[in-house]
Amino acid sequence: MKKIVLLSFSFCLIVGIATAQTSINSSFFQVMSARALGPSTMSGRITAIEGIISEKQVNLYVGTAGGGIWKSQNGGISFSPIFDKYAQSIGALAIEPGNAKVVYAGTGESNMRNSVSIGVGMYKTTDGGSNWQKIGLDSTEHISKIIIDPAEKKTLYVAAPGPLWHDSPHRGLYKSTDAGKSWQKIWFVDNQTGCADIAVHPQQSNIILASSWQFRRKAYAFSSGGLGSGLFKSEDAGKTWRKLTNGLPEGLLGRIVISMNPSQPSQILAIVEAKNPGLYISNDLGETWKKLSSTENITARPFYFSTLVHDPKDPKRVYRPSFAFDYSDDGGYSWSSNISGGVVPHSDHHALWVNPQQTDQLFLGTDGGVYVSYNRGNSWQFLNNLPVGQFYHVSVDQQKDYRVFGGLQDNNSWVAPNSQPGGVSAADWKVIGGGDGFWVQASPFNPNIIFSESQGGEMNRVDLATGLTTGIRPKKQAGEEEHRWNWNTPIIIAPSATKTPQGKSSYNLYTGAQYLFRSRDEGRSWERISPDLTTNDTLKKQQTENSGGITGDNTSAENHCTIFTLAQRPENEQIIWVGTDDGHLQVTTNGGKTWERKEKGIYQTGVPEHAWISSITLSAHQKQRVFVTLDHHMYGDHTTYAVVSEDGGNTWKRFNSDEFTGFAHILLEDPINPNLVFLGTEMGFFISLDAGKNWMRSKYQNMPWYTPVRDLQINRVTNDLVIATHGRGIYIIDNLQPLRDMAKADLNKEIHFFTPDPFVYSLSGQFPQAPPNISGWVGESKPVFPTFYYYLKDRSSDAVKIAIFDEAGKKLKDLNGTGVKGLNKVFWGLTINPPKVAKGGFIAQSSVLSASVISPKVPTGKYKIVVTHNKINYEQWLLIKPNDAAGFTAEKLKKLNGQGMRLYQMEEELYKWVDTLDKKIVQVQSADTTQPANAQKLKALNDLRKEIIETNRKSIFFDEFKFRRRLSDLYVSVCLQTEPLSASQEKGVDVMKQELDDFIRRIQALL
Amino acid sequence: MKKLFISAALLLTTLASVSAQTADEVINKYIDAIGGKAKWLSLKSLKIEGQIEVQGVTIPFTMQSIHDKANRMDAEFQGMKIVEIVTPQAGWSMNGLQGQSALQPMSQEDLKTKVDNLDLQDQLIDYAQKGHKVEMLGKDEADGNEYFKVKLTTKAGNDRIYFIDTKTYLPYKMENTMNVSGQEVKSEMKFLDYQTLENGIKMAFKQEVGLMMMVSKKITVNPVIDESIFKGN
Repeated sequence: MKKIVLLSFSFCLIVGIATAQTSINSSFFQVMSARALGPSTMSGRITAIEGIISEKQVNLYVGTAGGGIWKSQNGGISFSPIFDKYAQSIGALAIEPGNAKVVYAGTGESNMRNSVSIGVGMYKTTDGGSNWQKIGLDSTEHISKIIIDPAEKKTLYVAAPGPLWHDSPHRGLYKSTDAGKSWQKIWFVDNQTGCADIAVHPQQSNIILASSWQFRRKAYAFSSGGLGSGLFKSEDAGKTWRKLTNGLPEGLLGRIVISMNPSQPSQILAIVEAKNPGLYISNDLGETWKKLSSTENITARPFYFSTLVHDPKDPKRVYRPSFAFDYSDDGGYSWSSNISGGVVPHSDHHALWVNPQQTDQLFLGTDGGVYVSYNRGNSWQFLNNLPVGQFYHVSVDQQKDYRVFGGLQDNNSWVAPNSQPGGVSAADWKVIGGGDGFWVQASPFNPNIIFSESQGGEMNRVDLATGLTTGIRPKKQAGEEEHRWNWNTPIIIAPSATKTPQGKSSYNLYTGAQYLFRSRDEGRSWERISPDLTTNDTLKKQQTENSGGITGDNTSAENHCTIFTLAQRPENEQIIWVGTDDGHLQVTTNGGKTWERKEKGIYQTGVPEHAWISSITLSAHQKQRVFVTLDHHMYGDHTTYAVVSEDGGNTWKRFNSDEFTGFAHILLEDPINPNLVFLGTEMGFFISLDAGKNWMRSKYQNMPWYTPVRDLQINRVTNDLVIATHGRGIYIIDNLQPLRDMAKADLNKEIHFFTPDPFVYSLSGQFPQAPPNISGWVGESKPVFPTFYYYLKDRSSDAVKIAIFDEAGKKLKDLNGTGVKGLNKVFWGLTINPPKVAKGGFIAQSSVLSASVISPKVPTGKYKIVVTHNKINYEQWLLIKPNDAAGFTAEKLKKLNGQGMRLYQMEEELYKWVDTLDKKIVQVQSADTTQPANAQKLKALNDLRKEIIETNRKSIFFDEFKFRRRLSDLYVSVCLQTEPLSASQEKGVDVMKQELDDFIRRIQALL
Repeated sequence: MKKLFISAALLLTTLASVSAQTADEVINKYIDAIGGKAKWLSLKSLKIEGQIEVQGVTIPFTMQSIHDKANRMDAEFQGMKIVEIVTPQAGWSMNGLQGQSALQPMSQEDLKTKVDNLDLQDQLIDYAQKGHKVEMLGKDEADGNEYFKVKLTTKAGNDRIYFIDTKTYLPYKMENTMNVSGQEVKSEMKFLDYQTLENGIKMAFKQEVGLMMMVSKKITVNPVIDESIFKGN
């Protein structure tokens, strides 16, 4: 028996190993890394800013709502992401005093809005963010503050409001006395009440104040406040706690914010959410409190604005970043919000760091990025270098040079080119709608007509030709109930066979409240094509007007029983699918006359009833195939639910994978290869190469591993996959074709050199570029080159070389290949190996130096590509085709190449003759130069050399134009030409050739 | 039956602890893989002749080093000279391509990022004696394979993370973090084409840095080097 167990155990091991060898992950196509497009001009929600001065540099760690942690070592002039392998929602950060490299990060922000993401506990780095260790509190989901004991840096306090959508014991105040190795929950109220804020006395660190907060969100309302909320004090480092009430408001309390005055710690300010909310001051370490007068900004939206900061040195200066930025110069008795010069910071503030060594310097984190002030908050400057925008959706127009559209959380609707000369800069993004942005769609027939919206279904038609916009939202008709519009209302465009009254092609524009609406005239008139498609649960699920708890809060964010997603079959406009936020999946096959519910079968796959339908995707391959993603996180369930039906929704199969994390937002089946399926969730981007049987997390595509992916689109012309993240802006994976090829290929072969796609001759655009000083963070532009892909089963232990030959077999170019495991990608810039250029003299920053690294581009034709791996050659042919539409005809390219190659040969000829001349000089020098004939000869040789080579040039600020320089100027300019020289221009080459021939004759005469 | 499962569990635990090797265990195997400590300690000077290859452009170079004393690199492109000299106390450089025609003294800050390379006898050998620190960062995946990640913080304050192959114990790549003016500057280098030299030590003959490949054509062990070449101006 023992043997059998051991045997089966070793069998498991063998199987385990065998699986490991054949299983692939996203590193196999790491070369298909995504281009990040930003924007950074509109950044995203900032949740934490901590700083420290180290080696005279202002080091900043910035936590974001969905874009991880960013680090600057130069006071915000530039940032790098340092948390890309972990949960991207950051609640709090803390830097160990005196050590810029030791940082604690609490994941899961605590600005508890409807779209807030969750975290998975605490992390620690000891090397400034290069490596992180997970250190516990995994189930807290939201962390609001981390405080390191000022007296003992191994002692940490972590305030965890805890899970937002369900009861949980994983909340309260946690303490570690061993620098995060182990944790103790030192204060807990109940399963609905967490810890919102904490303050530790800077000198007597056994004195702690903490606020408890009872808070709960539901899909249709939220409630801040309850019996659990209160302000507490401990005088024994958290062992025992006492509720503070003296002078504080009576009755139910909500969220309480605390700030202890660092230069006078007995003085504490607290903002208390209560029926009569207010700012309170205590001058006796919290024992008694007095209400101060306060502005509306001080007490605004307590669930969302929880920052109150004393100046580190000035006991009278206090900051209240909130809806706007308020400051006080008298310890909180009076406040102002004056701003002069600079920009007005984006409203909705969540983080503030005051440089303790230079207290005039403030860094402010808002819903729209980070701002810096050098005068204590009177004037602000925006840091346009943090691409952490939170997109809800993305769309593209179906052109080769396509545009990308999308809406950002609290940050407008946008359009940008997918690529731009010099890169897609902050300045390339344009606003095309205000408010929170969600869906943006472009008319398929008129590129100037755009549909955009703001929260709660306020939608507009924008005409980019006139710059004018007009509202188009359907209006309530007789017999209809008040329209209920989701915070994130769908706007969908789909093909239509109908014609406009003018006989033009039309299209369907859909939107949905609880009813589905269709317009065929760009939103001027709407037809309601459904009854209420939701549960219309008026008793339970429509409470938005009572939302907020102690402080009323109704901003359409909790509108419920609404249509959230919809899709029409492109070839049959009678078939429309609709998904609602309360779990109805409805389909019509007659353009809306009758509707049938299809969600029942989904529940049989283990998906909980009433899960929010987050997306519906109709297959391009099978008419009966429907993909649905579902989201149940508002009921405390963050499971990834994605299902497929092959029979029009009667039966469903669920996709499962151990890799999955985060509730599902979107699933996309590749329209070309049905095996290729993509899934975006709140915590990751997943790829399947076998129609959903196996999934891999995208770790190697240049995106954070747990990035919230809200939407996916494919541009059918370029086969680019466009990815909308809720925290890192837009990403594009250019050209999915190699992934499709890989999905078909035998990956057990040692090497597979894929047939290169024919290249239609094009060049990367050079202009217009964004003005450099306002370009901000710049996303990569799209590479425009012939591209070779080869697959290696294992990484190469030697260099992989690539050589390119013309059709006649002449070698043109050597390229360095890469040798990574999986797919490798090599670009060819259409050039050949550069010419040999005549040597001698000082050539820095002159065309002579450029000439020795540049070449003409090859014309159209067939080229043989040889990949050498482990001394074995693998060949493919590449076809370079003309691009008549762009002016690159075969004739023109041949002529241009001929002109360039003529000069290339002249460079090489000059090299050869100068080399001969130099050798002759050496030879004569070594002879007896006292002989007049030799001396004369040497002089003649040197004189001639001085006519050819710039021998007087000693500095880059001195240009000298001898023959070599003039030839190189011409050669380089022709290499950079994009059209052939005209007949008259070409005469310049003839003149150069005559000169060259003269010099050669003169050299020959002296040999 | 219960016992049997426990023994299987024990076996699993043993296996797990086998995989959790310490930094020193990995470093010792690494040192064996590159030829062993004794052979490396016999390396007193080194000359490498080769070329830098960048997309069809080749730049010949020569590197000459005396252990712990000095290092000089000479390269030439189109007659323009690129020179770098590093000694423990001072360094000089000249880059003709940038218009420099004479050796210029290196700032102490730049020097600090380069002095680690004066140690020819591999920095991980006797690292503690040399004043360096190591930290085991565990196993990690890179480019689809699993590696031991060993972090070396040198006495000069530079960080290097070695990605050591779990089968061959040869480094696949190294991530370097230099501190320049209080700011981290990161770079990555991959090692290819390991070959054994005449004295039995193993070296990567190719080093890939982005699109640039440094190819060693000839490596001479313990050559006699004229020390005057290490004089700056």
